[in-house]
Amino acid sequence: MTPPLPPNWKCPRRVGFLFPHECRRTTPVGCPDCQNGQIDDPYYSRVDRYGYSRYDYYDDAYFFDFETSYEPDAPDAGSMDFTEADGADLAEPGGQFENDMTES
Amino acid sequence: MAVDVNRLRRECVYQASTPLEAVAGDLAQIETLAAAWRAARKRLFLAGAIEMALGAIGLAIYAPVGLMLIALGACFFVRTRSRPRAVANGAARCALAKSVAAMLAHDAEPNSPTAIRLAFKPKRELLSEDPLPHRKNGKQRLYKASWFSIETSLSDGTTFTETIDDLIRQRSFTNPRGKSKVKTRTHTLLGMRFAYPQKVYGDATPLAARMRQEIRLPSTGSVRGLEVTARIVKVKALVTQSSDLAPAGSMLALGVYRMLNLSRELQAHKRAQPKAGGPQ
Amino acid sequence: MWLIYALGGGWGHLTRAIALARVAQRDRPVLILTNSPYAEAAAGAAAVRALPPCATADRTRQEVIRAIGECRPECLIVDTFPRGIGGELAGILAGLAARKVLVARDLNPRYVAAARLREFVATHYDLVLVPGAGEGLHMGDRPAAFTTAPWLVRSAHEIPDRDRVRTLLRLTPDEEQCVLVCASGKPDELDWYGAVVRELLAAAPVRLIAAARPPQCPEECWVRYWPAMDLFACASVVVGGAGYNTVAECLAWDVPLVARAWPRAYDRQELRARSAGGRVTLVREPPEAARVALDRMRDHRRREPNFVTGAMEAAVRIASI
Repeated sequence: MTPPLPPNWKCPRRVGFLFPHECRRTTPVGCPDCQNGQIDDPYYSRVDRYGYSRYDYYDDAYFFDFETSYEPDAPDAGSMDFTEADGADLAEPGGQFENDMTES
Repeated sequence: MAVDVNRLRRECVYQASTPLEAVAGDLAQIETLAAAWRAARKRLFLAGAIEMALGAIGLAIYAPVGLMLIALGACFFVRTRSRPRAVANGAARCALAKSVAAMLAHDAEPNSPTAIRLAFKPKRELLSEDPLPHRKNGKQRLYKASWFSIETSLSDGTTFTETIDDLIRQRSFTNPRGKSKVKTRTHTLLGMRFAYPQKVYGDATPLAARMRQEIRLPSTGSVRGLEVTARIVKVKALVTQSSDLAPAGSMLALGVYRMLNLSRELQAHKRAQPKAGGPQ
Repeated sequence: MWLIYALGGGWGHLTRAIALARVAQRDRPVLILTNSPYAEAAAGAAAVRALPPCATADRTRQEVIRAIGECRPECLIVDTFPRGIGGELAGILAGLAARKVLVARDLNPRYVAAARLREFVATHYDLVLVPGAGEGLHMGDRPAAFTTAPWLVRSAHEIPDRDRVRTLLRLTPDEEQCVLVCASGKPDELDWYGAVVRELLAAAPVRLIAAARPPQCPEECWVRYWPAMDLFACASVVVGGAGYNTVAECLAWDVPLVARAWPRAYDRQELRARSAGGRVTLVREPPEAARVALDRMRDHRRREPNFVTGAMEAAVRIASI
């Protein structure tokens, strides 16, 4: 017999399909994710993610590849803070071209 | 929110702004309606055809009765108009919309406001028209038909948007026997947009290239574009087989989120690093 | 938001940009960046960030860079000049997160070679769109290039009806059609068009469509209207330049064009006119233009518009990358 749940019990398991989040159920009974409390980590254990068989697992290479380049505080590659100096860095295709802004 | 059946009859469109869990109920209702209309259309057509045939025979025997039967047959045919064929045959589109709603239901609040539009007979927009060389009277037309869109908020703060457009190539020509022929081929463009919160996922831009590699699709699908900025991920895929649309949509979203989830973990890793010069 | 870079004097780049913006802005915000003196023509049709046409080259380059930085577009669509008309895009495209699309109108091959544009485009652009067969030949074979139909600023269903056109042209009841002289291009070329009108006045109904009236053109013959292609239903022949839009519009309507190929630093107008076949006749002087126009007027067919702008396919292609 399942022991009674303490008052204000909230399910501690991770659920979700795309991303992990808390389960808001107040009882595991009838839960399709953890199957009445049989599955400890329903988010990890899903088998309906098509070809993504180890969806929640990232080997060390993922962290090694990105650790050094992942600098959320640094200006990103898409920084739009152009200055006049950026535009002044022009190649010279020949004196007769790229001089007149109204020519066409 | 109940389905606007009149609009469904008139315009073959289901459009609602309603909690996500209500969307699932609406789509189930539409599926049931579609099945009922399909059955009713079959019955009405059969009845109409029988009446018409009897009427034709009746004309030869006693004209007034024959005319009456023909008129009755015509009535049956007219009654099918209140059960539009586009909806009656639209079970596949209903199923697709249901699968999208079901996917989102795992990660959205049940009462997340959701805007959804499902068109069973969308307007075709002509994109181009060119002659078809090597064919008599040959013409090639390219159309776009937008038939599905959904937008909702997920429980991580992301605003999710999905659109589905058909790209239709129609080739018409006269064959060597003088018959007019029209050949149509349809591919489907699946578009998704994830406006994700930076405070949860950080900036996912450095993961763009890896995200492209991670996305998997059925063999009939291919990624046509991926754009990652500090706030938005946009991805588009072309699917050539309509039966693969539902899995393609889920796989596309999973591919994007696999990298977003990694971005969140990297953020956490970064925060956990001891700062240089700090206490050891 | 899509930002369309449409710098260059005259109407050409601006008109093509408006053609795309009208279609694309149904689904997302679109802004046109231009220094054309005719930017007001876009008022109501599309959102425009107008740079002063008389600013110095350096000032214009700075304004372009500032505009791109402020707009933060998700897609930058560059009409014709891959490096920018003043080279100002060369230093910033690599660092720009936006998708980049090149609209490859014809370009002087000497410039293409001198600026090594093929390599530049291959490195920096995600998509090349060729707005009509025959344009974009300078880019060579590129697997990621798509040729669309010409980017007309109207599709057939948007053309006003014939009665409305007759009213706009102020045709009298006994004037079925007229010679339409379309003056686009540079302000100093306007006098040539005025001289053509003067040559035609005594011989046929003639109307000049222009932003300003040259002195040789009587007030009653001048019509200030854009886009001129709305009016082609009542044109028995068009006299104009051999720029992209005039040629494409006349071919779409199947109306004969008597064309003056103007010298341009980048656009090969004469090549375009010759490639267009029998519907375009090249001329040089106003009397010759008038004589050829009168000859072509004999084709009095009533024309019904039947064309779709290639900008629609272009918008789908851009949205798909």
